[in-house]
Amino acid sequence: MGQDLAASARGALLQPITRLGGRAIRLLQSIGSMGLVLGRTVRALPRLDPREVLRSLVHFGFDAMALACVLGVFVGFILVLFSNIIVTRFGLKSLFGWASGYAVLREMGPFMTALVMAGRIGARNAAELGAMRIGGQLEGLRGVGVDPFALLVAPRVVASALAVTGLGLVASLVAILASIAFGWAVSDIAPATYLTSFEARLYVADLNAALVKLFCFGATISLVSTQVGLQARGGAQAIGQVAAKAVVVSAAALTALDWLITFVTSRVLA
Amino acid sequence: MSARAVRPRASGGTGLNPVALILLLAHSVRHAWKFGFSAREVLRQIVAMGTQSMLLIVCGMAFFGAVLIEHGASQARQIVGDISIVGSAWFEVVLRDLAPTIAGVLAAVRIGAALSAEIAAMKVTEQLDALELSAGDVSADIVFPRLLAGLVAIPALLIVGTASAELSSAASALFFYGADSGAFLNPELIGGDDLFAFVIKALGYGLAIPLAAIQCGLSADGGPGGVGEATTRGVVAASMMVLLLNVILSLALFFSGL
Repeated sequence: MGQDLAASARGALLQPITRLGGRAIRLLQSIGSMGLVLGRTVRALPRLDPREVLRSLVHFGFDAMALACVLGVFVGFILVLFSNIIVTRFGLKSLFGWASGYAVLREMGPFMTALVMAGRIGARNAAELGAMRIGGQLEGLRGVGVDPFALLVAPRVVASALAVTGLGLVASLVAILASIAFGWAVSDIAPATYLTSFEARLYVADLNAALVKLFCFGATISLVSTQVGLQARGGAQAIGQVAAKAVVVSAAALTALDWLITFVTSRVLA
Repeated sequence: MSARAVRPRASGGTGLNPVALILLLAHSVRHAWKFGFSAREVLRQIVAMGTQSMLLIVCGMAFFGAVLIEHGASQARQIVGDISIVGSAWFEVVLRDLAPTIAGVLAAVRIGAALSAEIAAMKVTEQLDALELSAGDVSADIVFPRLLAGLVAIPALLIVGTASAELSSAASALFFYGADSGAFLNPELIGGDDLFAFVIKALGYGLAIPLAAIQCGLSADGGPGGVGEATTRGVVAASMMVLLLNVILSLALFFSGL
């Protein structure tokens, strides 16, 4: 009786530690397998099939163009709401263009694009790879002596990273145009006023910051979704689960990475 | 009469078709009214949504709050030098516009993915048909409890997320810039209109996220590939619904003078 109690007390004490340790190990495992995906992709780069890359680029990038444009309009609107309060509270109408342009390029454009594209591109990539894995197509290719990684996986990793970068630039451009339009309509700021401070106070560094963020986000989404997709086991339910997991893990990684990149670009590279 | 009547064709359903969403909502409310629904199931869904999203929203919004301070500081440095004078306006902007929408997108990603994957898997493995055959009702037993749970859980998550973003903003202003962090938590510019805007947006997102995700899940078709496709559409539709509602509700509040 006493021994049982002691054993269960010890179990209760150890359980959270076991669980935490298990989580940490799983986290390290998935980071490790993402590293493997990255390494095998880099190794496959010289013999990448250009047609497969192009096909994936159309699939991931071009097909999501309309979504990126709509997203850009929404992001532009958020910026106007945001800048409108600052402008009306401090009377800084002449800086409106700079404030929104800065916010689009440095934060909202890349971040919002990445969050939505984690759904669109990440979930799709994970689901397709998961379906191939469950359907035995990857093993089948290996059976006939073809490396499935170089043929199927690496082109997707490259294409989805590039697609997020391109779509993010499109969305940012649309967001800037939309914030000019909404700023004119809602806050009564003439496009000329907008563009004056936009031109005078924004530099190539701001565009570079957007590009760096977008590329890192794109690479994260493609690595996470590939890694998660290749882990799929089971039936129809598993496909949904890997698609959902890819989005959620990407979103968590994106928020942390966003802070890290902002911190580095605004401190170290300023 | 089953939920099938309001399901869109699989190829055409982007989950952003407002007519289909309103029909789905009306249908599930009517059926829940007619056949009753399980309060226990609603509670279970609230717990599931809350526990699965809490970590992502709290940590994600804490990072986002810290990021905002970084940008705000580099912008303010070019104009005034001291970032704490923008503090109270900052609080207003974050509470009213940024935090609910960003937390809403994070919630849409988490809950949208989970719901559409779950329902799409039920659909393609014919569990929904089995439910109908055993005298259950998809709208009353599956759809309505999730809608109601979203309406409770998502606003609660947004409140937690907003608090997390605010506290992390104040902490990083103090820690990284030595600014007066009290200014970032100064409620002098927060009025009833800002709280009203927050509540309206939170309730709107709480309804829209599960609605869009369930709609996409129900329109899943085909085998395992259909589940993946429906999950993708569900996540995108839920997050785009949040952004669209942000535009609509903000414009409505703006033109009604709030």
